[in-house]
Parts: sequence; structure tokens; C-alpha cells
Amino acid sequence: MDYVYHILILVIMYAILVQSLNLIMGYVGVISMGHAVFSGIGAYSAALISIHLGYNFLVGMAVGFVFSAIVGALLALPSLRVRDEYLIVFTVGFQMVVFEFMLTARGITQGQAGIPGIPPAEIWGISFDTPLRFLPLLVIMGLICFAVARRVIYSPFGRVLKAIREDESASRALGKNTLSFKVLVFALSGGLAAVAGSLMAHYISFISPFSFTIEVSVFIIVMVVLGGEANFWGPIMGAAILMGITEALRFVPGASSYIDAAREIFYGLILMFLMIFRPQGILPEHSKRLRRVSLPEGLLSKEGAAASPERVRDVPGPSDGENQEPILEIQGLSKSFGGLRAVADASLKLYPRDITGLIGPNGCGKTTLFNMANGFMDSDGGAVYVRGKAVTGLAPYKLVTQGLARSWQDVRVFKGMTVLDNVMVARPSQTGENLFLLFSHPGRVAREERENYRAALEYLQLVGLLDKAGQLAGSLSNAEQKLVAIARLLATECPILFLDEPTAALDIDSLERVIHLIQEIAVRKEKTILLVEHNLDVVRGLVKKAYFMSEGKILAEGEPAKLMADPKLAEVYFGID
Amino acid sequence: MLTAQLLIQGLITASFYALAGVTWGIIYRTTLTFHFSHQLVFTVAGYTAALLTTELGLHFLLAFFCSLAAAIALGCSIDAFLYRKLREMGATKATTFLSSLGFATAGTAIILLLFSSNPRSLKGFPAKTLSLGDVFFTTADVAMVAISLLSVGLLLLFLRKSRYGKVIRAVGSNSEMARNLGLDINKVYLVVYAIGSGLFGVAAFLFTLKNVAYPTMGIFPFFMSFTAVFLGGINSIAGHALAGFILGMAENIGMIILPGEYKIMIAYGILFIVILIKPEGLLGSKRG
Amino acid sequence: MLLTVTDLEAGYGEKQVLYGISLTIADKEIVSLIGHNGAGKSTTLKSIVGLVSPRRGKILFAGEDLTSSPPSLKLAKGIYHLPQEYFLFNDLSVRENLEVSSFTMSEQSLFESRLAKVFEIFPVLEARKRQLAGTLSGGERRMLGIGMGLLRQPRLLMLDEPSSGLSPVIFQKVAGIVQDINREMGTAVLLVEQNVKVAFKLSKRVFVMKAGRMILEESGEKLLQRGQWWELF
Repeated sequence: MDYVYHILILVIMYAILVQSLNLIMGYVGVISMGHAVFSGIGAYSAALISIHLGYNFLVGMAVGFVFSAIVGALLALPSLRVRDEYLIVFTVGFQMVVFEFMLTARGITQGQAGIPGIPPAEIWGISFDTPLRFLPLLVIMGLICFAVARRVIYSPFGRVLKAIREDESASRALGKNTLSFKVLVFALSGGLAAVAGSLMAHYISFISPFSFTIEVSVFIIVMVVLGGEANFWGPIMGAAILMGITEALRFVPGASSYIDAAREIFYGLILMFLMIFRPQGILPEHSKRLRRVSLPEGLLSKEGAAASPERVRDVPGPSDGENQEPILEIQGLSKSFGGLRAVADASLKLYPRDITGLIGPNGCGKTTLFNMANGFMDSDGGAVYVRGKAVTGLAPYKLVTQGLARSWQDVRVFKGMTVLDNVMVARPSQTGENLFLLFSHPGRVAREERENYRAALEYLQLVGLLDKAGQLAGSLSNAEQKLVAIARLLATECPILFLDEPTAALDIDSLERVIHLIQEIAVRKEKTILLVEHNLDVVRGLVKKAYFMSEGKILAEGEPAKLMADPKLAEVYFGID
Repeated sequence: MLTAQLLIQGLITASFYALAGVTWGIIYRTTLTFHFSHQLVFTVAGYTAALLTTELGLHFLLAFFCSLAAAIALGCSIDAFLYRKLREMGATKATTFLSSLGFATAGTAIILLLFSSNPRSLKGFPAKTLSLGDVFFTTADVAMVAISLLSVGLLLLFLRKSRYGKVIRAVGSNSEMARNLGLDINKVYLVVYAIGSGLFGVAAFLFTLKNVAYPTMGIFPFFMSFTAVFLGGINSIAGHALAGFILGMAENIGMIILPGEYKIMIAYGILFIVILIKPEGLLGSKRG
Repeated sequence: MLLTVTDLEAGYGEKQVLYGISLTIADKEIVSLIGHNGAGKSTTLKSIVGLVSPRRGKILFAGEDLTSSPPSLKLAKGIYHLPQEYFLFNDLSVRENLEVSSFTMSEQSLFESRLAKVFEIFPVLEARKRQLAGTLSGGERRMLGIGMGLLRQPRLLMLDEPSSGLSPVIFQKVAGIVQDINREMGTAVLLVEQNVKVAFKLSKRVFVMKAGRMILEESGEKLLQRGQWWELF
């Protein structure tokens, strides 16, 4: 019977470890080859503190958690700025360096020999020194760890993680400071792994560097992948199956002499076959059934006819540009690449509720100007002002806070997330996106979720996609994805919207629908819009005023009809003789 | 003098890492696959050499060619049967990496199972200790330096001057364009795996000459090889060689300051610092 | 007709870009394809050569149905496609680029003589034959791209916006060379261009695309006479 408890204990300990790696692999989308090290940090902290300082095991566990979280954050900072392959190199290096340290820093870790005699866990005189006694403690610790992981995954914070995994730039464009999210997840992941490690130290009462080798890191990876990445139950599934089969191997006659090698062969083969035949693992991320989206009352009655295409063809009358202050002003932005001047001293003004166009021939610099103004490229000079406040050089996620958001020419919806989540993730100032407040203010988080839920559904109704709210965004047609992107943009509540070729690759009906929607947004939602477009029919039909660029300079501004009557501009656009 | 000995030691290690670097580098640069199973090729080649000389009593030169053949056979098989299949399925880079990891894990364990962890040595090589002043080295060391540097030189020459070498470089530069020009990408990849695996087999042979064959022998040389590639710059094979050389020298010269067990820390420390300053690597350029 | 494209539909994933494109090119003819950015001009070329698989429609070249053939086969049959970007091996020298591009040529013995011809047309390439392709200027890169195509002596040369990144002076030069090639070597040309004036001057016929559809086919001369072309975009 003790043996069964032992197996259960191993499964739960590994499940905690695997869940912690799943946070990185499944939700950030990063393969870490050094995860065993974090549990090692927890184990050594537990051992040293309980042996040398004599504190209760919970103290050692807490110290291990914090220490490991800090190391995780430090590892994340450089790693996340580089390409995927570098990350493998870094995490392998991390694993090897720390392993080498564990072997050589004999003063602290006692090197190869390891640390024996770790006292068992103890609370109020109860000593958890047998498998039977340790199991309940472990179950409780496991439940706590899983509860924490679950809270993080199924929360606004977790939603942002998924968005980052799907498309990091698009997430930044919605106002998310993606680096801080990733670093926090690494920290949490390291901390949870340390908890598993400290529990192991107190259970087995002996640790050595060889419990935290790269083979162990690989083993954890196999379990994550087997159970199913980005699925909450995946780690438990993976741990149970792999531990179960591993232990079952012991019963094969004559196995004890080659059990280690057999295990490694087994892990390796499972990993290989999984990657070939079922890379997503046993449990998929989303259940096949569509998520049922319940609509709050009153939603349908109010703006039920919003999506009907009454063709609002006439462009809204001229606003008195003279009496109003521009809501966005670009002054003298410039950019050079090497010797090439891409943008030279460009200035423009956007007035509230106007739709303004930015047009010009290929290579005229409008994309560069566009990207500089919305924070995705640095400028060499010049300034950008929103409502009179200087926002030059701010990162995109900060610009969103200032009221400026952009869409993408290639749409970039979060394909692996539902349509509803795509819009909800864009909602501003979500308390639940703060990892600490998520746990300290559950009431506020829940209330905001309800409010954001309603707001998201309203925006989906506006663009006419309410019935698809529960579907995965990736399963929608291109035209529908563009509508999702517009709803997502509206959900940021930013008054200034930059649209990058919103009508590209659309059939005639969808094109009309999008044009109509943009007009409606400007009028009814009072948005100020800057539009980069190449289809001059769209420009003629939508914008009040356009800026014409060529070779990095803004040559002219005015109503489209006026611009197109100018022979000099025609020469620029159609080519000089 | 201790320093002179360490310098010679450094030269030996540096030559070895330079060779290791280019073997993985040519594969990575051309195919952009994180070929984790490269370590297995090393181990298989080493064991082939050791076992053929000890169990079958073959002459070491014959064993050399056999281990070379084994390395090429294994490397090409992995590409032809595993990586190619994954390519055709449109697998992501992460998926390919993980399957390579799985194969390497299983393969190393199979070797452990078949041959146990007792090291095997290579018999029949005329091992003599030579000296130059106060400095001592063996014939195996001479072979290591000479053959490694020669191999690196020949590879660089092949890539630069020969027709097929240019094709390989072209595929590494713009595989899409190469495909549209009618080049058989799968065949080029196979050739690249043959070259990379074969040369790593040579390195393994030289390693086994000096040391012994054991199941995990490929791990550390493999780590140094990809460290050298990222340190030197992905698209410069010369960079891989240079970086490997630097890592080898640094490891031994570092022993003057630090006690001998910090090899990995030195290597990764150098990599970390260089990547921080110049992310493309020493001789690398930003990929267009 | 050398090339006949009928009712071509194509796209990328869920994105449909071409909604039924038809065009023809006669032997030795220069034809232009113009339209606003995003209208699908590049996609049309890519679908013809096979970089993008057509979903519907037909492509007939010299009487053969090549609708689903891959780019390498199209090249063997005589269609050379020069994309707007990434059409060179940046890490190889000019001469090496030319060597590699002729690697699969069936008549290898003709390489040196054809290379000489390319250097004759583009002397600057010969002058820079050892230089890395990645360090060439915009115009030189275009010339190298065209040179690589000429080595294969294609029956149809498809150029995707050869003027992009070039100053008007250099582009005039390149356009002149294209005309010479057409005249002397009898190569048909399908030209996608933003610089429509030059395109109209060079081309016998012009096809105009808008939002994935063909809206007009007209002779280059007649279009030139119009004087202004805003409604085509």
C-alpha cells in the first residue's frame, strides 16, 4: 500500500512541476530546457534552511519560491528579446551552468555527494514522514498550486498571455506591456516549480545535483507535451500517464538492471511519436463544442438594426477645422535607413471625428510614417502630440493609454482565441491583468469581467458578428476577421484609430460593409480615423481630407477631388516621363 | 611552463570545437533546423570506431572510414525519414526540435542499453607522447589539431569554390528562390546532413583516439558546437570555426584564473556577453 | 497566344485576393498589368508561376495546361518570374548568383556564352561580378535579377514592379533594356508596374485590375492619350 501512496505522491509532485512548465510552454509558447533547475533551487533552499537554520518547512518553501521566481524573471529578461533558437540555447545554458554550479560549489551544495538527512515536513508537531502521512499534505499543496495556476490561466491575465502567444505585436498594439506579462509568468512558473522541489526534498530527505539534470528537464517537457499544452488538465494527465508507465516498467521481469535506459528510450520515443502524429498532445486546448455565449437582456432590443447596410454614401460635412483643435498632430517626423531618407519632415493634423486619408505611390514612406506615429518604429526627429501632449517615442502599449490604437493590414486577429475573447482582451484598464490584484481583489475583477463582457458583445453586435462570438477567430473568413479586428479596435475605447489598408483583399460586398462600418464609427462612436489606403475608390468615398506623400515628403493635403485634379500629383503617382 | 602547456591544450580543444562548430553550423545555416540529434551522430561514430578496433580487431584506419560511414548514414537517415516527413507535414520549428530531442534521448539510451556505461577505447592507434620543450602532447593530439583544421579548411574551400558548394550556400541564403529555380531542396538538405554528420564523425573519431567512447560522449561536444554557431553568427561558417576556436582557447586559458570545472560557465558567459553586444554574432550579419 | 489565363481565383489561406482574372499575352508581346496596391497584381504573377496555387481557373502556356505546375516546371517551360523582393542570393557574389541560377539548365555548355551576353547587356554586372549581391544598389539588383532570368532565355519574362526602389533615371535605363531584350531576343514581357506612363509607352496592351478583378483591357497607346488615370486606381 505504501508503494501506491508513493506513486500517487510522485504523480502529484510531477503534476505541479508540469503545470508550472505548462505556464511557459503552453501559454507563452516558449520551450524551456532548464526547468528542472527551478525545482532544484526549491529543493536546495528547503534543505539548507531546514537543516542549517532549523525553520519550519514552509519557511524554506517560501524562500525557495521567492528565490526561484527572481531567477525566473532574470532568465526571462534577456531570453525573451531574442529569437526562438537563442532561447533554446539560453535555457540549455542556464540548465548546464546551474548544474555545474551545483556540482562545484561544494561549500553550499556539498557538490556531488548531495545533501542527506533533510528533516521531514512538520506542522504543529505532526511529522509527515511516511508516504501515508505525506500524501494528504501533498494533496493540499497540490490543490493550492493548481488553484493558483487555474486562477491565472482563466483570468484576464491568462487571456493576455494567450494573445501574446498568438501575436505579440498585435497584443502590444492593444495596450499590453507584453514583456512584463512574460517575465511575470516565468517568475510564477519558477516559483511553483520550486514548491514542487522543496516538497520533494522533504519527502525523499536526500537531494543531489543528479536529481536536476537536463534529462529531468526533458522528462518534464515530455509530460507537458503528452498531456496537452495550454490545457489545464493536461499536466495531470501527462504526469499520471508517464509516471504510471514508468513505474509499470519496474514490473517487467529483469527490468531493474536497465530500468533507467528503458525509461529514457520510452520518453524519447513518446516525444518523437507525439510530434509526428499528435503534436497537440492528448487533451486539446479548446473543446470541440462552441462556447455558448449567453446574451445579457436588453442587448438585442436596443441597437438590433445596427448592422443593416443602409449605404451612407455621402461623406459627412466639413467640420470647422479652423475652430477646433487637432486631436492628433504630427510635426516634422523624419526617418532615414542608412543613406535613404524614408520620411522627410512630415507633418499632419487630425481633427476630431474626421476621417483623414494618407495616400501616395509605392515606397512614398506612408507606411513608415504610419508606424512612427503609432509607436512601432523610432523616428530620427520630429514630434507627435495627442491632445496637445507629447507622445513621441512612446511604446505602442503606452500610446494606447494615450488614446491611439491601430489596426493591421494583415488583420492579425488572435486565431486560437474565440471572437469574444479577441474583443475582451482589448478592453482597457483591466484589474485582472495585474497578477497581484488578480488574487487580492477578486470581487473587482469579477465585476469588471461582467462589464467588459457586455461591452464586448455590444461591439460585436455593432459589426454584425454577435452570432459568432463563441467561435474561434481563426475559423472565420477573411472578411469576418477584419470585422473582428474592428470590434477589437473599438473595444480599446481609443478615440483615435489608425487603420492600415482596411479594405485589402475583400470582395465587393464585404468592402461595402467595411466602408459603411468605418463611416458609422466616425459618426456614431465619434472616432477620429487616419486611413492608409491604396484603393482610391475607397478614399474618394470615405475621407474628407487626404495627405498625399511622395518620396518621404507630404506634397499636398486637401479633399480627394482636389488632389486628383492636380497635374503635379498625377505625375508623381503615375510616373514621370 | 604551465601557460605554454595550457596554450597547447587550448589549441587542441580549439581545433576540436572549431570543427564541431562548422559541422552543426552548415546544417543549421542551410536548413534552419535545430538538429538536436547531432549528438547521437557523434556517439555512434565514436562507438563504431572503438568497437570495430576492439571487438573485431580492425585496423584503425579502416575503423575510421567505417565510423565516417556510420555517421553519414545516421545523419542522412534522420533527415530523410524524420525531418523530411515533418517538413512535408508543415511542422513548426518547435515540433521539429522536440522530435529531434526525443530521438536523441531515445538513441543515447539505446546505446547505454546495448553497451552499458563502461567506456570503450580505441585500440591500435600508435599513441606516443611527444614533447616540444616543456610542453607535452600525444600523437592523438597532433591528429586532432591537424585533421580538424584541415577539415575546416577543406569545408570552407568546398563551399566557396565548388559548384555544389555555391548551391548549398544559395539554399541557405534564400531557399524559396532556390526552389523556384528548380533546385531540389530535399536533395541539397541531404547532402548538407551528410557533410555535417560526416565531419562530426571525424571529430568523434579524433575524440575517441584521445579519450574513450561512452554513451553520453556526444552531449558536451554538441553543446559546444551550437554555442559556437550562435556565437560566431549563423550565416558565417567561418564564424562558426572562429567562435569554436575562441571557445576552446578561452576554456583552457580560463584555467589559469579559475579552477578547471567551470568550462560551461566560461563558454556561456562569452556567448551571453557577445549576444548582448552584437546579437548577430561575431561574424554574423542580419538575415535579410 | 503564348499565355492564356482564364478566370483565375487565388489567395492566401482564408484570404481570397483574385476573384476571376483573365488575360492573354501573345508571343514577343509586351503587356502591362496595372492597378492600385493590393489589387492583386503581384498575386496574379505568383499564381501564374505557381508560387500561389490557383483555386480555380486555367493557365495555358504555349498550348500546354500548366495550371497546377510548380515554379520549377514553369521555368523549364520558359516562364521566368522576377518578384519585387528577395529574388537574389544576398550572400553570394554576382557571378555566383548567375552560376547558381543556371544550375538546373539543361544545356550547361551554353552557360559561358549566355553569361557573356548578359554581361554585354549589363556591363555593370561584369564590373561587379565578385561583389556580394546583398551590397548592390537597387538598380544593380534589378539588373542582376533580370540577368539571371536571361540566362535561361525564357519565352516569357514576368517582372513585378521593376521600378520599385529605383530612381526615375535608372528605371528609364532598365525599361529601355527590357525593350531591347524584347526586340532582340523575342522575349515576351508581362510587366506589373506602378509607374504607369512608362508601362503604357512600352506595352502593346494594358490590363487594369481593381480589388481583385480585371476592370479594363486597352491598348497602351490609347491609354497614354487619356492624360489622367485616377479612376483606374
